[in-house]
Amino acid sequence: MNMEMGPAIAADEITDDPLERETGMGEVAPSPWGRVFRRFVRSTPAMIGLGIVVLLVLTAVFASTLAPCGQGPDFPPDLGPQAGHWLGTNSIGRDLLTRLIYGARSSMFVAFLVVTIATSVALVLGLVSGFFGGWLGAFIDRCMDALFTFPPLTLALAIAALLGPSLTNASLAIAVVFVPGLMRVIRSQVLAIREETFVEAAHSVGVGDTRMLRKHIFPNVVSPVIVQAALAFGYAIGAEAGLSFLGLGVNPPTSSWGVMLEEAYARILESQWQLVPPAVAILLAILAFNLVGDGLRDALGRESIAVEGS
Amino acid sequence: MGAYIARRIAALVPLLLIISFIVFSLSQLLPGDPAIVLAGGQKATPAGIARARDKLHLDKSFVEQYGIWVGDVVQGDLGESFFDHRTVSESISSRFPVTLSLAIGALVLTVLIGVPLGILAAVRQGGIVDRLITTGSSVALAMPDFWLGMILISLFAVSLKTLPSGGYVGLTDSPAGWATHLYLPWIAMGVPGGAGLARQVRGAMIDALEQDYVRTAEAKGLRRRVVVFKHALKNASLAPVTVLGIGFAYMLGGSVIIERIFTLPGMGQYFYIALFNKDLPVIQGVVLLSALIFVVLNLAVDVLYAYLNPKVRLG
Repeated sequence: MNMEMGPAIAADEITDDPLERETGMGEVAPSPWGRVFRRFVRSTPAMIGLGIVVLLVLTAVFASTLAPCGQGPDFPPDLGPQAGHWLGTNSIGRDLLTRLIYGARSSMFVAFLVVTIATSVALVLGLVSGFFGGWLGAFIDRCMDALFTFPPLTLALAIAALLGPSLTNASLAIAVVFVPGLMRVIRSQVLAIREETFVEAAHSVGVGDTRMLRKHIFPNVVSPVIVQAALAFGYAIGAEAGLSFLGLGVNPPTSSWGVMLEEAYARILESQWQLVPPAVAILLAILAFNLVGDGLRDALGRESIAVEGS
Repeated sequence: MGAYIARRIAALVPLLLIISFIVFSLSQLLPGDPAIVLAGGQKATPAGIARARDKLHLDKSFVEQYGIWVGDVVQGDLGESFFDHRTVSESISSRFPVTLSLAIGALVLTVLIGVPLGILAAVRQGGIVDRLITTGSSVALAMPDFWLGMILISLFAVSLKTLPSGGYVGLTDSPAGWATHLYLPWIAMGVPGGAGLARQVRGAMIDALEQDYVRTAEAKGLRRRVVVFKHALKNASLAPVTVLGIGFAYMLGGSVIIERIFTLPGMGQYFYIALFNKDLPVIQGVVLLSALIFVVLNLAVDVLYAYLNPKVRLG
């Protein structure tokens, strides 16, 4: 039992070889990213997750083409699922399938903005704190510790409410609460890399700070950042739904899965089934990004050092 | 031990300063003049606004305002609501028992779900039970608590009509009514929490079960149960207990949507109303308190750990 981890890794390494021969890539020394890619592709849950993610992104991008109806309240209210309105209509006569499709756009927009903002900020703070340290690093660390003490949703709600409800403000608010967690991952990775022999070697041949950060530290931080970003995508989708549910995300005519949940919840006695489409969409979207994140983590797991120099 | 606690508390001073600064800075996000909000919004008279500016010290510099605010907070004065004009500390303390009931029940459920499943998955690592638990926890982790809350209301309150969809009964008024009204919110918060904890426990237990002392314990013929629960579990509990402390703090300070959908009159609902009124003192008060709860719980977990593990205390 307690010996399982060792043989498990060895067995995995052996299975790498036939696979490489099968794909005809045995002769070429596989690049680290190639190995990561092959490991990721072999994981069924990760591929299912990736499939859903691709569908979601396509739905968000082509929402106006895919939507069967206009977004306006042009139909009889509270229709059940039927031809022409596959998911029925809501209480003011908007087509629910159309709203669900446009909701994907709100979700993806917020999640993308949140992850981009939070990752960029966390990357700068994490590199500065981890690599340079000193009083500035200590100050950044304390600020992150302080941000970490706020329950994420509570702080995001306070910021979103004070800035005023809009998708961009909601994204900013959610991004703020994601920064400390991401920054800690990046910082600890930088601290670990700094102790590696290749960094010491580079330092001893006179490599400067800028080049060290760009060529040696940064490439090694990329893989944990990718994993965290994928997981953050999932959380951001949940947070957007929560904020929109409370009326602090999208403004009324715009669709969002959170708003759809709120509409269904407000009239749960009359139209209980309207809860199902947004609920399924939220669950699948978060699950998909979590599966991709977990798959990436497993695939990148042993590659964090090997990726260096690629 | 005393020295360790003193060192930890001293380290909190800069942290608390930054927390208070962040909370105070929330006022800067408010577009427009808080004095107008306090003086009644659209109906505000110039004289009323002037009085409000004076009351909120808006004519002083940002640093002076911060100083005054911190001074008040240290004395337990979080200001008063712009709207119902009750003090924030009074309103929070009258609502806190509701939120505490919610969070404690959710914490108990989190532990009841997370610990056994995590241990089971670790002991059967790679087997069918492990895979079921790991997959189940992935799905449960993809359910935001408010999402699960609504599904539960839909199932148990609307379709089956077995449990109330919301409302609150005090524990002292009717223990049975108290529990009946809290089962669904407890499940809504406890299931995703338990799933997260199960993953933590599983990871920590797998690490612990690989240690030499476990092999030694098994080699000298100790029963598996003793090895798992006595040797491995004790050593595996650091990370999960820390995560649990954080989770409990977040439940106490972050149950806004759960309290809204289950119409529980707790701190989260108070916060929710304040968000829509842009009731700055209430927003700042709740955000500050939720951060302080985190700090205190985190300190308690660390001290407990130092007490149990001399390596932490002296390291």
